[in-house]
Amino acid sequence: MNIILKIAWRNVWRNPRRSLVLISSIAVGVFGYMGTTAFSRGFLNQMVDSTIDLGGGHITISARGFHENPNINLFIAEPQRTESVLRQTPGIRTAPLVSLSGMVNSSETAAGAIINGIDPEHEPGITVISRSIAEGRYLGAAPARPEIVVGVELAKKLNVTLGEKIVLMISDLDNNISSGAYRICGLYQVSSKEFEKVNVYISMPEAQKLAGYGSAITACNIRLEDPEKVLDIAHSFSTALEGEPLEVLTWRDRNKLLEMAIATYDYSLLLTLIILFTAIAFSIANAFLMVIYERIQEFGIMMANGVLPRKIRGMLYTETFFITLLGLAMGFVASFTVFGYWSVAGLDLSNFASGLSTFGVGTTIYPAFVTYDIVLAIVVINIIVLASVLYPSIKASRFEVVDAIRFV
Amino acid sequence: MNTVELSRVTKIYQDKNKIPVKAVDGVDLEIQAGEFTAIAGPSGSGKTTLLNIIGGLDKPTSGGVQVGGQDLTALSRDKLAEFRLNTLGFIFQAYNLIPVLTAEENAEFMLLLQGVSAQERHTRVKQEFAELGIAAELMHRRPNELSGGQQQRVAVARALVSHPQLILADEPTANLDSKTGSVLLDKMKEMNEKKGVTFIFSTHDPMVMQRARRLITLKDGKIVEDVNHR
Repeated sequence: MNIILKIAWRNVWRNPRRSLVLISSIAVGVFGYMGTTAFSRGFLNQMVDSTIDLGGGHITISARGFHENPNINLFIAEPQRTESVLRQTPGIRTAPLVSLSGMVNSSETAAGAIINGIDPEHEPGITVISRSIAEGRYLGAAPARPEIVVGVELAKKLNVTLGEKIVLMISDLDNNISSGAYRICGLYQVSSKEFEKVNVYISMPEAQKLAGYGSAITACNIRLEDPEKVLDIAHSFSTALEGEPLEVLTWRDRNKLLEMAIATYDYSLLLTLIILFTAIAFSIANAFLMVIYERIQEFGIMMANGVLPRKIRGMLYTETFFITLLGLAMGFVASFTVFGYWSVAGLDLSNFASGLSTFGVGTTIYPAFVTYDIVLAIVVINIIVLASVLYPSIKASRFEVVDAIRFV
Repeated sequence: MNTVELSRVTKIYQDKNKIPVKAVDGVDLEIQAGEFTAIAGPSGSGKTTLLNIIGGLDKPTSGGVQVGGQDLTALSRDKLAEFRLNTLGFIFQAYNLIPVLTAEENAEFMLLLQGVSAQERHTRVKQEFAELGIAAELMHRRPNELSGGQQQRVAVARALVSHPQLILADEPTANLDSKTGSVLLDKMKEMNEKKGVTFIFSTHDPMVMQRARRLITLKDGKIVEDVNHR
């Protein structure tokens, strides 16, 4: 082993208590950073999942302007053209949707609702509603009587239970009131209470009848086997459907706020990391200044024996690097152990964060690790910590040999 | 051939009150290869300063310093470090071993910096340790596990093992008992006679002065006596 590396490594353990304090301060910083990032990533991932699982898959094709203004007059009149384009694309699942804004009435009260007309055979491939039935069952493929699935929260609000009838009302294409009575066949429960309060599900033919659409639909939802291809596939749809009065939207386009949160998160993460470790860097710089004052004579002896000043600096950098590596390792081990456990088991925050369901993430958070965050931590922490010993190490290498040897 | 040539070397320090103090005052000195020289004189006479100037550890305020054919006043910090590594060996009063290295690693320190192979290092260190009477079981001990005499022997081994042209020893026996100091001086004298290594001591130890073939006496930074016993 190189003699300078050997001396640097042994110097780390020369004052074990001080080194352990430095290593621990880095480890605690890493643990704090990893906790912040893992919970934030988990939170964002769950919001993304919620957007995809509840909001129509990875890609939605709808009439142009429908997303901004879900007007009943904006629909896909000839869905066959869109379906033929989708059939040519491998690795996707699709389901048509008729989405209408209206009112839902029980015998006691009424509420605004988004009425989702779905194909019970294909819709389970897009959203999680069919797998989120808390009571009763999902919509049948060909029910004898009109039936409806409502959210648990909406059922509470309307004070209705399974088997009871509720009435849906909308203003149809001719601006006439159109209504129908539906028996509740199932109650669903998802991560977002807000979603449960407004979304109801009936069969697509029933919705088309309510709206007066005939065979028209309002959207075609698409779920990808490989979510990484979302932009490529969305682009290919846009190209194939060019000239049609349609818009192809990815989940990011549908939820701009989330898109913005994700885009800005990386910057806020970097800022958090810099602030956290700049504070730690001052204590490291202070410790190394003490180290240098303790070893001035030793540096003098080394330089007298022919060690170049830059090697003295290199030795101190190496010593810091070893301390940083140990701190990183300790911090990562603790983070992966604690947050890794929660990433599988989940951390139930229901006692003090029930408002999380507003964001569609539920009250159980699953922290997530992202390679970028880990690499960022390793690079930024090393840079900041090494920068913190820049001054002490330059100072050490600039001592006059004769003064350093005499230093007591 | 002269190993050391000093011409009109003066070194002026500023003391704590910023008052200039002449530590070395216009010294002219020539030391030939293979000499065993002691620089003596009372405290504050400029012995250590002169030794530091010869070793390139300190720069003179004025005058010329040639060691091993190199003009030390013209060398940069890095070049001076390289010069010391390849030309000189130092023995200090306080041993000054590197505390985190074992006796063997301390002794081979300069060889490691010179890039000498592991086998060659091991052979040379083993040989020097044997010649200086350092027991094999001490090789893997750290300085704090060695006595003062043992540490100084390791320091001598460190200075000798790289086969320098010149060894500068600053009060090497000051912290040793007279028996240990005497044994060590005999060893250094033997190295000088056997290997022709040039030694320059700064000392006020009579044992060193007795063994020196040339005794230079300094007073107030000036050479007041230069006696050659050859």
